[in-house]
Amino acid sequence: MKRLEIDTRRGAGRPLVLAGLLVASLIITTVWYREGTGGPLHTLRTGLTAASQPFAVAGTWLATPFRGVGNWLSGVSVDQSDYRALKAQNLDLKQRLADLEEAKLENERIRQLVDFAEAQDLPTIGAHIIGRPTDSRQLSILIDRGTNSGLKVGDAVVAAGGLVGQVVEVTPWNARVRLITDPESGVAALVQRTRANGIVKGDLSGGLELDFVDKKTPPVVGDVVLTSGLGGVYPKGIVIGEVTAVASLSSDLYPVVSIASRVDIARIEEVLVLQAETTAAALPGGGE
Amino acid sequence: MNKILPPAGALLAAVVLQVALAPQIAVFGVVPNFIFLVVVTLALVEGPVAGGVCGFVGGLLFDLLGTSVVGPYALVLTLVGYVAGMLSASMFAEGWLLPVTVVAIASLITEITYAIVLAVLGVATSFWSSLFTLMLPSALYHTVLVVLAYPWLARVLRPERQIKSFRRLA
Repeated sequence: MKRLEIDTRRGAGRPLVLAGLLVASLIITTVWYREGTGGPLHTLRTGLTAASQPFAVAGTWLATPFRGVGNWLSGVSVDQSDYRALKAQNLDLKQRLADLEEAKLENERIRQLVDFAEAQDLPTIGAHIIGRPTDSRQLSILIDRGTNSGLKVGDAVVAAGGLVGQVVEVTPWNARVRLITDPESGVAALVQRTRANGIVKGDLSGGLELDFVDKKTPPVVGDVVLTSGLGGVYPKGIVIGEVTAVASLSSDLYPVVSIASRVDIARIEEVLVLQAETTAAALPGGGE
Repeated sequence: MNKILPPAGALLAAVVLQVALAPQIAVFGVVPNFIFLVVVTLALVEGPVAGGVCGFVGGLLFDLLGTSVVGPYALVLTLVGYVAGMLSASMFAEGWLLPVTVVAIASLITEITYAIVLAVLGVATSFWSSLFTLMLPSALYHTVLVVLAYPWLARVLRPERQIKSFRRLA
């Protein structure tokens, strides 16, 4: 009898409460669209981004040894002999080798970034990635530079291989960068060989698609896709990626073009923020 | 006041875990959602009203953590929290099967509803592509996580119940 009473209470719904909460959600969505970037919801998000930075940094910092151990274990074959001293020495040397290897790789990455920055001929700021995407749908990263370093909303972010994304939110100490692989991202692009214009959009599988390309000049696999500079958000000529597949049915208005970024976005650790003097602000739609 | 503290603490912990831990344990791009797990667990142990309210607050926090429009996830998670609470009282499953079934169904409903809401707001994504790359893998991931987390989470969210086994939890 007692069990029955508990279950009845737990299962009892209150449709009015549900309706009230749903209406409140819709009002919040409307307010978000209506208010400016200085509105209370935008300010709240910026505050939460700033407040979450220590946790993002701590998470990345704590995960680094586990990644390192995983890499180390996968590369070590265990010697079962009795020479414990030699084994200990071996481990020590391996650790030193790993440290040197890490320093070498970091050096190479930074050298590539510096070369890339010189080629861009724009003022740049280097930044470390301190937070990875916290959601499967909204692909963004957190970097350790903010308005104190001169960053502003709309700045383009690149890595050695090409375009990474755009700053969409900035605090004095950090900034959130929407990746080009985010479904809400859009980049005005052109195919290097044919000069055909289009829009590169992200998809949920982490890939990129080139839309609105003229059917008369379809790209072919291997074509390089660059930013076109149209829209004023991204500077012209930054590599976005290479065409990996082209499909076109007679009923399609535009060919379906898949692109692979040259940047391994899941693994990059440093990025460059391009500081164009008159960078356009991030558009509500998330791109150009 | 005492009834609000455990869910509030669990939501706060979920937000911290979402920022610090979730990105580190993403599998093939699928990031687990700890806020969703707290909302569904609360709905299971406290019913639809608590699930709906927790869903609204948790969804709003999740929206604020992201880069997209604020509000849609609050809408979806409110609905899911409420429905999960209703499901818990009307399902015949018990023991570990109850949370696993409810989380699997709730995860799929959340992802599908969220995709529809985003599509209405103009954020177009390929449904069939995301079904196999995101929705089903997310449901599977959350189902695995709830097996590990549910017994502990349910104890935190409903401390007045003397819960000693998975069967009692259901």
